[in-house]
Amino acid sequence: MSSGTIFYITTLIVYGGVDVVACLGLSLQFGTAGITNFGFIIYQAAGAYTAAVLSMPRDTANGGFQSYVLGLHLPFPIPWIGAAVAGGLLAVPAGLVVRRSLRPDFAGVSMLVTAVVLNTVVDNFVPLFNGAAGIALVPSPLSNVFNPQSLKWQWMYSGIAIFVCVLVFLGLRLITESPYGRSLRAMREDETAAKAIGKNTDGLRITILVVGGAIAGLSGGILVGFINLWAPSAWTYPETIVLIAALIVGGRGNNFGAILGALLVPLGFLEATRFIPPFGPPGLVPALEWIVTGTLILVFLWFRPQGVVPERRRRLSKRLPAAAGPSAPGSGVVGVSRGQ
Amino acid sequence: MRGLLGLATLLALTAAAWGAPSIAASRSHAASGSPLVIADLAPFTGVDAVLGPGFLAGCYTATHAINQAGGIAGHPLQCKIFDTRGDPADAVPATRQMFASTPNLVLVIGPTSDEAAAVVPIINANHMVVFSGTGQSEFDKSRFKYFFRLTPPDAYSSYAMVATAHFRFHWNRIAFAFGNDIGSQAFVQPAKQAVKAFHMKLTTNQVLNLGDSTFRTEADAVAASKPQVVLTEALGPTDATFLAELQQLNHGKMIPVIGTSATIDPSWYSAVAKAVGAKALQNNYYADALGILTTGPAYAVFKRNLLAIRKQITWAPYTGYLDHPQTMHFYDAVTMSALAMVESGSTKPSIYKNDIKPIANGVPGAVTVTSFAQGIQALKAGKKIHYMGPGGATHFNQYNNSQVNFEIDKYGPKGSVVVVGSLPANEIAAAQK
Amino acid sequence: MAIYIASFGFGLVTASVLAISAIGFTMQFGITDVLNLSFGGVMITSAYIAYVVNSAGINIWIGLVAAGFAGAIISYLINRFVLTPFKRRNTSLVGMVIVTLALGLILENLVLAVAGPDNVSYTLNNGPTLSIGAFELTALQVGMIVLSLVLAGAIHALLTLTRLGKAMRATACNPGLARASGIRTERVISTTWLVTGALCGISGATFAINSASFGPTSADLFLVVIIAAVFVGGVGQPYGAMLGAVLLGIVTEVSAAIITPDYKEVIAFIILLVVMAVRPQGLIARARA
Repeated sequence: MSSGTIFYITTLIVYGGVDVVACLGLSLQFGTAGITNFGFIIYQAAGAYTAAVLSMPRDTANGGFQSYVLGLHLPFPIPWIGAAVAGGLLAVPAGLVVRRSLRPDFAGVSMLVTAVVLNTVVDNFVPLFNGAAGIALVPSPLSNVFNPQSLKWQWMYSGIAIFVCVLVFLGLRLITESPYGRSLRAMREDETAAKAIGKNTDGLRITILVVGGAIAGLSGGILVGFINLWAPSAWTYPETIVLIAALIVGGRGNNFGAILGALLVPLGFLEATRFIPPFGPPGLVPALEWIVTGTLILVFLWFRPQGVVPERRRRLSKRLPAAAGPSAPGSGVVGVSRGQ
Repeated sequence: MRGLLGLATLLALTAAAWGAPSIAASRSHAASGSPLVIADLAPFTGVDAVLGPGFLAGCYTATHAINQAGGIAGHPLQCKIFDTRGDPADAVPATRQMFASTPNLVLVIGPTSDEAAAVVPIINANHMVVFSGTGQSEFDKSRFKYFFRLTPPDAYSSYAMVATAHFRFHWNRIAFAFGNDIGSQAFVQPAKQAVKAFHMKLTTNQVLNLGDSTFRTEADAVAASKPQVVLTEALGPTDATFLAELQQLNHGKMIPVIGTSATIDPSWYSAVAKAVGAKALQNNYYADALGILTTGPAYAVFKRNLLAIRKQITWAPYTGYLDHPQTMHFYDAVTMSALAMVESGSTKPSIYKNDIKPIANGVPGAVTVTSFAQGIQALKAGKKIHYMGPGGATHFNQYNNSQVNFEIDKYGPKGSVVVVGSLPANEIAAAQK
Repeated sequence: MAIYIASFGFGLVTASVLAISAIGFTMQFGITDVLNLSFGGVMITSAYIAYVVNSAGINIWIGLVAAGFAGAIISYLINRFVLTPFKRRNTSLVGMVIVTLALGLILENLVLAVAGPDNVSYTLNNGPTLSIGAFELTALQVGMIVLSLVLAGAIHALLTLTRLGKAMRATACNPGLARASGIRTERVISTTWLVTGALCGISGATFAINSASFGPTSADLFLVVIIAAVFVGGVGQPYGAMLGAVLLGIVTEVSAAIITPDYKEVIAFIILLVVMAVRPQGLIARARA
């Protein structure tokens, strides 16, 4: 195997890791707790920017061609911790807005609008993160151990990415497989009922937004350490659609579905198209790719709304008759109700 | 643990599925007559989608000429697209995939300001020669041994634009209207500096948000500040919209415009000409570009080969590339690299890269050649060569940046580019203090 | 000072384009209960249909009508073959939004695939410039303002004077009750998609006229402003949408003159946040069923 191939494989592992971590975070919000967040990508971006400015030296001491805040030059893993914290903190205002029992579709769309607007702000407010040019020369973590352009470093980073995936996976298991996870699913299925049995759904919601935001932030930290550059073009709102497509294809409400979705859609499908020999005018293939992504969402929602890996039916549901019939507004966030 | 196992299995499968074809391909590396690949690693999607195709036209043209002359040691050259989508997060896997899937890769052209900072280190670490399309100042003193650029530094282009207004037209009141993307904003700071150096007046500096659908307020602010000239670069539909609105708000009269070299482009021309009228654009538009030759033997070869491959240019009228500076410079990049391969007797970048600079800059006693075919003949005769392509003379400095003369271009009828003047290095340097 | 007055005029033009789309968007939502994010995709597709017509040498105002038809037909088809089936399966509200998001993505990229990434312009005549002091508008812009006033008037007449309008309002208020009172809500909804689709198509063409040059992804950011206008005015409220459009159209342009043009969308967003905080139901609201 040529070294080029090995480098590509390690790249795929790291990107796969980033996508898996992000999808796990989104799955916790969207799949388990039923919170729609069409602006999920901004939390990844927040993490990436934070990890970047925490690990970089001051802007004046870094070639002087870019301007950004902080520049604390902190060693690994502090920037990653900062990334997770930033993602979590950014979720607090969202949690406060979504509190008022806003219709779920309004809540989702308001997050989408926020994502678009934040992208515009970062694009135009240069002192913050160097505007549209983005921040370059972000140091690779642990570059003192191996040369970041060496295969050893690549394997090490891949290992770290997988390790983070496992950590996030196990951490989420603790949440989803506990009574707390049951509360989340209860909120997803019927918020009024959940409230009636004494669940503080506003509290649950804000917690899950923060936890999911922190996970997304962490994924951004991993990504930026690998590509050494972060710019507004890397987190436009369609990137969230890709993650949502991943969950719809993989299967919502369970971590295996999220992992499979991440590996199939952002990684598998989008990477596979790189191998299609280009045809037609430039730009045609990416356009077709988006068409396929959109179609994939529709086809899965119609023919297999539960995704490739359906959510395990909990034992409790065997004892109780499955909630049937048309769902009232505000419930049943999972695409299609179980009535059919 | 099942999750980990599943992940590992999937990753292994992924690796196996993609590893396999590459192994097969690398075996055929040595096979005689197998094509050598030149990668156009640039945006083909997104706001800067016009850039990649312009480079590609140059690559097609150069490789056609080279293949007609027998290729390189029996191997034909071939151009391949690797779309970075103007997004650094897409560009990195695109670059990695390029290296993984292209065992016969001999040269990379393209990376622009959108992605160069992310991918040039990777390309350099892979010991692959790259001719970049970025003008970013971080590459002015590039530490990358495999990095070359014929594209002028943005700062230098900005100086040239202001110098043109000052020396050629004696304009004093100048307004800026640049897009808010990476490539365009890079011009603002140095241009401001140059305006100061020439004691001119910057009447207003408007930033055009590329996603917006109208720019009337911006245009009105420009019109109200009564500039004699507007400096601009805003890609996509932005300049078309903005200039049309500016024209309308200036009572139907177009204010003269000096654009960057990126505005000398068929897509830009067609959008803007449709919006403001071809005649108005023809009369009021100037741009600075690296000196290109649109006459003479080097240009004749370029033109002949571009005409030969015009059917491959399916996305825009090929005529727009007949005098497209970027197309010509990447044509030159491919041609001088190919000549370096022949001279050094190797397609290994680590070896042939040492021959690029002498061929491009010329060494004492070298014969000047204007095409690949001429070059190999001279090389066969045992001579040293100095390549002078349609992109004009090249002077690579110690950082492999080429500092050359600028020309002032206009659009002729139907978007052809007409050279109307030139700007020597000393005039540009005057803007630098 | 002159620039503020001028920017107020530009604000009126932006507002008139925004009003047509915001009315369409909000009626669509109010009556069919679908928050349709493919609206931008339908707009731009219709704008391209008008471009095809216009390129054949036909006047842009006829192209505008063609865009209206195109928008109506596309919207009708979307509802008939995608949204209604999904609704029948009791797809959740969020599920419906994801469906429309996917549809929008498909439409926009179909345009990109067919028309290519290059930007195009209509062939049209701006007409003479009418100016009162610093207040300057072309005849074409005045035409667009008039058009949006006419359309707003027509929608007002439709909703208040016709049986269909009554049925629409009843369906918006309480679909179950409307059905029980003998209103064929499915048909009302289909008709709504035709009407609002026509508004969407027309707004696509006016949007394209207004921006002088456009491409397949041009409406992306505009959709955000439409959504802001709709929410500011009160979701599902045609009059609210008009008010929201005028407010946002003028404030964004004037703020661009006073502060900086970089943050037009941000200003729109801040207005939205302020309105949501002070009056979450929007400026004009009615008790929802």
